[in-house]
Amino acid sequence: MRSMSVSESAPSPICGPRGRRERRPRRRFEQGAPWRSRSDRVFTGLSGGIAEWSGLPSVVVRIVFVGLAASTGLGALAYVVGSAVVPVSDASVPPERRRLDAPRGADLERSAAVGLVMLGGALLLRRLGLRLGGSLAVPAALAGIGFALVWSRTAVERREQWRTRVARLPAGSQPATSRRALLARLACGGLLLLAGGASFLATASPSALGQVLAAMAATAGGLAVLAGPWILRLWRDLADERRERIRSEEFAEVAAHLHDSVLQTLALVQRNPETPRDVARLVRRQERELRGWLYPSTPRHARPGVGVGPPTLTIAEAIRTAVAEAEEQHEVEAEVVTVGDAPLDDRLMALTMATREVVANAARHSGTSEVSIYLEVDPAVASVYVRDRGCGFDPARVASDRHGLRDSVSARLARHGGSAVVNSVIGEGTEIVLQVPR
Amino acid sequence: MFLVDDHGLFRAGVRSELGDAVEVVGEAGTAEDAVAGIRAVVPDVVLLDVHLPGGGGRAVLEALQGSHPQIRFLALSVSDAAEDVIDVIRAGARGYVTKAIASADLVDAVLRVASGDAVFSPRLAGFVLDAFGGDIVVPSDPELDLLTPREREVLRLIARGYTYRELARRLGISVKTVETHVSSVLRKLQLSTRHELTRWATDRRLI
Repeated sequence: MRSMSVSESAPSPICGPRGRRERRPRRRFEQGAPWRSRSDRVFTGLSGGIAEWSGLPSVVVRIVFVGLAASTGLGALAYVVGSAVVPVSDASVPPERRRLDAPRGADLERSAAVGLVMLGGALLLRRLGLRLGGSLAVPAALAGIGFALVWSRTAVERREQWRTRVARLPAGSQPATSRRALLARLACGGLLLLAGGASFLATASPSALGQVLAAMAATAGGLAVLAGPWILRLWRDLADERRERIRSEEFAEVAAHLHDSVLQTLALVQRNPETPRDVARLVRRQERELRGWLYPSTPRHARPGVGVGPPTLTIAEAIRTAVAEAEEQHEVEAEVVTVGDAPLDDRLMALTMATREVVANAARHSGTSEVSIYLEVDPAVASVYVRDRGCGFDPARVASDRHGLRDSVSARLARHGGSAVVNSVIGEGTEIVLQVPR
Repeated sequence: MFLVDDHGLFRAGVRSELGDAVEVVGEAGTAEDAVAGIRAVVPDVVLLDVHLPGGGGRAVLEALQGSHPQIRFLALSVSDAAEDVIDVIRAGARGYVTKAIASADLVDAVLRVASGDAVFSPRLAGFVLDAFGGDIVVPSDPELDLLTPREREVLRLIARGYTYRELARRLGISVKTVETHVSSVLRKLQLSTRHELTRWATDRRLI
């Protein structure tokens, strides 16, 4: 699916790099917590939303609510609380954005009213002697809700989601909130299940605390037997899942990179075939960028100062970047060769800036379109040689109002104890040597 | 000259660029075809792509070095990865140029290799300087493991973008002497057991 989105958007060359989230279609099992429906609503849309979320018919959800409300009043409570905390949304909204729309006052009032009416109805029915379910209703409802919480989303396709989520837990790529939500749901469900089961057994044979505990233990044991094989299978699948995910993420990264860089450039080149200079520049920039990505000048693990903290920029990288910028501005081809490297400091920064100015000068004044840059870093001194085979010039005769070489280059390097030396032969070319001590 | 590259378009481009200066006696797109083709026609020079289906340029070099020591190889690559470059040079190539090279320079490089000289692009010179830099470790064989100051100077000028001719004039030596220095560096590069060379190239591969 990623490759599809690549080809879809390739013809629009103007768009820059985009976040990966946008390009990835949301999968069905990433729909997050339930919501309240916008369209399918009788009072606050809670039942409709739960129906949309779980895939059950909404009439079933409503019957459950009414039944619970009528028998014990619990349904009414659940409805009021649910309406208060569950946001209005739909499946197309990503889960992480849903919590932004808070429940509105009108919905709160309405759900409170509905809850009160339902509670009143339940009390009235009791008065009339119609105690549906009797004393077993409360524990049965508790157990039912707990069970529903734990198992409702483990129907065949939902199990997929669980596995994905659990697999993500150790990787930490999942936002903390949804991990917490998952754990909270498991904990709540488990607690309710235990409480319900225990009090069910206790009510059936009303007796001492010991029996309640025994009942709880029995329920927990039963649960373990029930869920054990499933958990085992879950863990077995974990490793496969994670491997697959890492692979696909790596692929996605390469695809995204190629999309943002190479395909965009190809599209631009196709559009401007009649302007060879622009095409050449685009292609050169792309080539440089791709090379930088494929063959970093310094291996990341061997980079000085790597470890904790942000990666350190080195002089070789800085020079390459500065030259690339000059190259783009001045339509010049520059070959950069570096020997040795060091983390960037004030002096090396000054050297970089000076290099940039010198390359720009060469591009502007030399009359050639090729410049060679050579950087050498040894323990005592860092040197840059910028060479062109252009017209050459006499440094003594440079007009006094030209500040580039004097101020940007010589003075800057002198402040850091360095120097700039110009070797130029009229008609043959120029080589400028820039040096700063380490 | 025999042309080995896995892109037909590129081979056609090189053929037309070289024009009359160099006679192209055959071409191949895979390592296997290249070995067979080169054995059949025995060219003076093989322009060899580093990356080839069927083992890469290195496989071609290894298959032919023993039986045809008179054939000279010039490596050609889009890759700037140091280990690729060092690898083919150590396997016996007489030089290395990038695919971005200008036609005239390519012709020059082919002729130079044909006459038995080494061809160092600025980039290759940079790699070699980098690899032979850092003299903290005591070399096991100073003859092979160290560059002389003069060789170092020559390499540095090549890395700075000087041609052999410019270099010779600058150092006040003949082009022939420059060629001698470069060939000597190439020999050291191919024969040195200096362990930094391997470690350095490997370092650059482990990204």
